[in-house]
Amino acid sequence: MIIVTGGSSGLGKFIAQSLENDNHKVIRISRRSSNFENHLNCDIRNYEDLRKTYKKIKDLGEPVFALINCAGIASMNLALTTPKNVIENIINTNLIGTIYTNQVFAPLIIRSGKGRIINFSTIAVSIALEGESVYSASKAGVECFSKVLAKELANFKITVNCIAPGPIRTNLIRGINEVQIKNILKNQIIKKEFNHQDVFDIVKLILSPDSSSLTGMVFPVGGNNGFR
Amino acid sequence: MITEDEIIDIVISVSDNKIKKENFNSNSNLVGPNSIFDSLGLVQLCIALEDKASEIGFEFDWKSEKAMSTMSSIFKNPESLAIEFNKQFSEQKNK
Repeated sequence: MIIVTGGSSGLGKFIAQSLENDNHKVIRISRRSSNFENHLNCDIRNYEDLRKTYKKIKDLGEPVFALINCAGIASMNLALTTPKNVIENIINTNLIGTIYTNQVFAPLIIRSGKGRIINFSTIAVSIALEGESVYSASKAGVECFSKVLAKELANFKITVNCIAPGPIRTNLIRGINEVQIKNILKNQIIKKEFNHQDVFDIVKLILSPDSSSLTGMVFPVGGNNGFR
Repeated sequence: MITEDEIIDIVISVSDNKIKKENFNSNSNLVGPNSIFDSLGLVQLCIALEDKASEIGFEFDWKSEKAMSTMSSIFKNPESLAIEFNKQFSEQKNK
């Protein structure tokens, strides 16, 4: 069984559907209600909500092999003009929500004896994208958290990695215009726009039994031409 | 409810019997510099206790602020862990 947060919309929805197409049992988690089978309502910013969801999944009694954290939000704002509530919402969802989710659900994978955790970062981290300071900061935190968690879970045969997409056509980039998208693409090694399927290909790579040695890594979609 | 001896048995089981009963008692350190447990063992212990709690119908929270406090960690030794486990059991049963 694979848990996908943010699984009812955007990239998370695509990944969840693609996993189901590949005959994986998927539990989708999202804030919004949904008609998907195997969907659980849960706000990842709410620790108690996550604990309840953990119990529901644990009570299913099925081994959980992977957790894919797609839930996230973005907002284009200059650092000095970002409203306080926007800062808090981005950090609470992207960083704290991801930390909560990893912490609460990791024991489900530990019980299975091995597994994978995939968190989502962004190219905005490595290129220090102007106008996305808070978003980038939240995702930089996710990258660092994932690297440390990779060390802490290595003995449990659990790998922890990040995927860092560039501009993928989802609601998350609705505030970015075409010129900005072209400028971001210049920072990729492969200077073309990638899509949902390209991201899913990396998900499949990480989930593969052949990838048990890949951990603590950030996979930049299209390659990272940035400073790291 | 759980006894200190039951916790010691779980500790020994989680350690794959590397920890011997004659070297481990209710006052032996579970965390800290004198602990004979590594982080892997500690997490496995937490999960085993969570399962034990499920069996008797309550949720054991091992992520509380108190859990890793250096002064009063619930993981200080089997005695403190049994006290916390039983306290959470009683609190939830009395709700």
